[in-house]
Amino acid sequence: MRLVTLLKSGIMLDLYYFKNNRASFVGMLVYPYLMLGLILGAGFLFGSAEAFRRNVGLNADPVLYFIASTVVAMASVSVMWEVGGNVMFLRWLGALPYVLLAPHRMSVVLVVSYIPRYVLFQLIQILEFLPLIMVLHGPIEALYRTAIIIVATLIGMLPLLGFSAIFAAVMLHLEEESNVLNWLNPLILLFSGAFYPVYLLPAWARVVSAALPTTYTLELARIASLVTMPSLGTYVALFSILLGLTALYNSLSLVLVGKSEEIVLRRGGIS
Amino acid sequence: MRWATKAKAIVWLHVVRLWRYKWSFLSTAVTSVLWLFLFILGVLLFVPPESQREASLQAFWVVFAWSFVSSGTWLMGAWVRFLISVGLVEEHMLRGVTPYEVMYGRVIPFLFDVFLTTTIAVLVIGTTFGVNVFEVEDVWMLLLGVVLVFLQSLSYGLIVTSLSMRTGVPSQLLDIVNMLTIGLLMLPAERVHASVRHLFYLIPYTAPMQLIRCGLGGLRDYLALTEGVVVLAILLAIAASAARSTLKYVRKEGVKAVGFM
Amino acid sequence: MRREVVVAENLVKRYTSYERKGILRKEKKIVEALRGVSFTVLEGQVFGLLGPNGAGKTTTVKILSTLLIPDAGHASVYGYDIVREARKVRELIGVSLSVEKGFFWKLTGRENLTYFGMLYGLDGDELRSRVDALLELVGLRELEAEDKLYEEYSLGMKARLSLARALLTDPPVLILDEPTLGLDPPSARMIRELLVELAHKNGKTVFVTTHNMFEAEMICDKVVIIDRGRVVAAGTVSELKRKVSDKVTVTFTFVSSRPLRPSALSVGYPLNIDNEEGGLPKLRVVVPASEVEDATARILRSLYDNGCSVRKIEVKEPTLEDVFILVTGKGGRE
Repeated sequence: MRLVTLLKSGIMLDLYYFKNNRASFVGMLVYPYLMLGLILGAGFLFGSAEAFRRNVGLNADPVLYFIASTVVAMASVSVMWEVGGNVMFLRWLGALPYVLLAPHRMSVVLVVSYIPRYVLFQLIQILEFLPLIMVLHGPIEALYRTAIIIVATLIGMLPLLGFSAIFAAVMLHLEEESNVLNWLNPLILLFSGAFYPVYLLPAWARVVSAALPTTYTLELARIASLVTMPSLGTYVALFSILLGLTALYNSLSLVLVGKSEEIVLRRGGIS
Repeated sequence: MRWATKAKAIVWLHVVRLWRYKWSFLSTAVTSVLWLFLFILGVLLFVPPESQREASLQAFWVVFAWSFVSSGTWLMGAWVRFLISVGLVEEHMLRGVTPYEVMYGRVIPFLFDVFLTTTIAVLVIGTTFGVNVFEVEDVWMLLLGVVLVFLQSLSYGLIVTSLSMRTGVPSQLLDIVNMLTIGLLMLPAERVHASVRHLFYLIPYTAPMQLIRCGLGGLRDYLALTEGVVVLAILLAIAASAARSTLKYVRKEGVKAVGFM
Repeated sequence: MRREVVVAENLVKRYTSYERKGILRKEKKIVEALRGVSFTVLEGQVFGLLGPNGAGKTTTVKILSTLLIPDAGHASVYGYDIVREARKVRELIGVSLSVEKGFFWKLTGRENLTYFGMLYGLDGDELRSRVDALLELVGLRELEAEDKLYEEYSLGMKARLSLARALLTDPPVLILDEPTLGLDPPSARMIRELLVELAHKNGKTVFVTTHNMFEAEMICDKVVIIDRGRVVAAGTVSELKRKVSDKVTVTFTFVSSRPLRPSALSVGYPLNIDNEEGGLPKLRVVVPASEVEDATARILRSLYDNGCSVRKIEVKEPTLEDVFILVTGKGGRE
């Protein structure tokens, strides 16, 4: 039962925040469209959809391609910030000790309390684009393609949670006032091929991409943009890789976060 | 010569803080460039390969101009909220220093941030696309554009300072305006119909960006130059008026110490 | 026989810091915050940990709260070790580390309590009624502040909210670091009275740190004074005062129809009578603390027998501040 209340605590925190800080809620709704608008606007201003298909090497709808990319990019930023960066924010507020005093492991508190918020807010962001997708592809196909993006972001979150918990462990150590690791987010998205295909990267960068869960989440989400759907094997392969990475990163995070917490408790860096 | 001691204190303050926060500045500059690079790569997917070199050069100068806008917003305008929240506005006013006088010292981290962002952008964009970003046809036109964008950003920063002291501007709004500014900076004036171009140049930053483009291509656009100066004058007048009225307001109503998190 | 609830044995804690000695050089410094601190807190007691700034009070609080692991020594709460069984300890304690931070600015007082309540495992009607009751108990409802944003709270309101959070799970042990620091007299008094009530009526064990000696004197059943990481004095307030002096001064302000001489009163103690100009005469006597009641009664009888009417009796005994100065050797390293 305690895990359930922990799940609820995370969602209540964000609901209270948005209730008392409407600008934050408006921002959350506006950002995805702004990001998409900037890329597509500049893209069509300086180039064309034909050049896009030639460069990417796929018969894909550029609008849906970037909708999928934007949603996954924002989701991954959200996970990294809300789980990893949250440590820094709580420390600044002076609330970190009280969060740690909850009757759960720190990694559990940070990760589990975030899950329902992630699910709810990703759904809101994806559904924001639904009208646009319906205009472009019709209602039935829009629902189908949106469902692919939703499944991709939900499954893609699993390994990212463990990944971000490791990030949180690092933030616990740093005790910096400002987030000196905030360059990690765009770097991960760069290596994951957030707005362009990974196969365009040099070989050494592709090795790094292979280890990142966002790489496969983006690939899975972008299936929604393809004119011709791939075979079942492609889906199975991507799901398997994501589940494998889930096991890897989450088990690593359990060990590392626990160790990190012990070191910081010894050093006195909690408050 | 009290003003000289005052100025010395303010400059010393910002230099010391800059040094103490050096890693944070570096991190912010790297992060900004990486995010913009991500966008640039996305945009370049639409551009035929033969035009990508030219497009990346243009992209670099958009990043450069945008670094001024971003610094004006965050390192000046929004920074006053920090000053308010730690109770330093009143401490300064007690000693005859207005918050605006403290803000003038913010030019130091402002320019340092622009320098850092530009250097990193040169490295990232230059090495990725193999372009020499300093291939400029008309240096003077380019410099005029740079000076104008710098001064317009400063004025904007001071306006945001006044707003922050009176109402508390939500940071999300500043973010949204910044993102919209990138869009404006990317739009070449040639794509705007000639009949409304003079209205386009009345939007801050558009005229200076056009001058920078002219500098790259060896062109002249005196309309952009004239309107750029006019917009600067308007922004400066608004900033000065807002500062005067805000100081009066603060003396009467006190400083709004509203949290921004 | 009261149960031992919090037991600390030889707690040691060292911090490493680095002092810059040039552009590239740093000198390592070890600061010994605690050097073998031991004490025991009984159930239902208000226990005060006193000391100047930098004495090690906050370090002790963090160790007992399981937020800091000691380098040596042990501590336990209800028999659970604070290092090996930290999770069990956390279920038994309510903590307030600072009265002025630790909450979300953009949430109201009620919302903050609701969030932390959920985090600590409360939910539904139980949580709602608990939050309501606590807002009432700490006086935030009376101040009509429960639905105001935290960023609009005064320091007194913040202190009350901090105490409310510590009480969310109705823990048997409260650990509070300077809970009245910076508060105005009414707010400070309200918090003090509440703490005493929670201990003496509700049976909670209250562990509080302070450097306000008068406050400690008012509310603490037992006190430990630490300085530079070591315990320098421990005991009840009366026991500690007797360290300074075992005598008290009693002053009787009285009215008499004729001037009174000390020799007229045979009470067995040296007396002094002051006839202040324009004021009432005052009789002063210094007696052993253990005999103060008996001596007061004898002197009163003697004064009445001599036709005097007593207007005021003042008993001046050493204060806890006197004790503090004696054992730490300083008037306050504040």
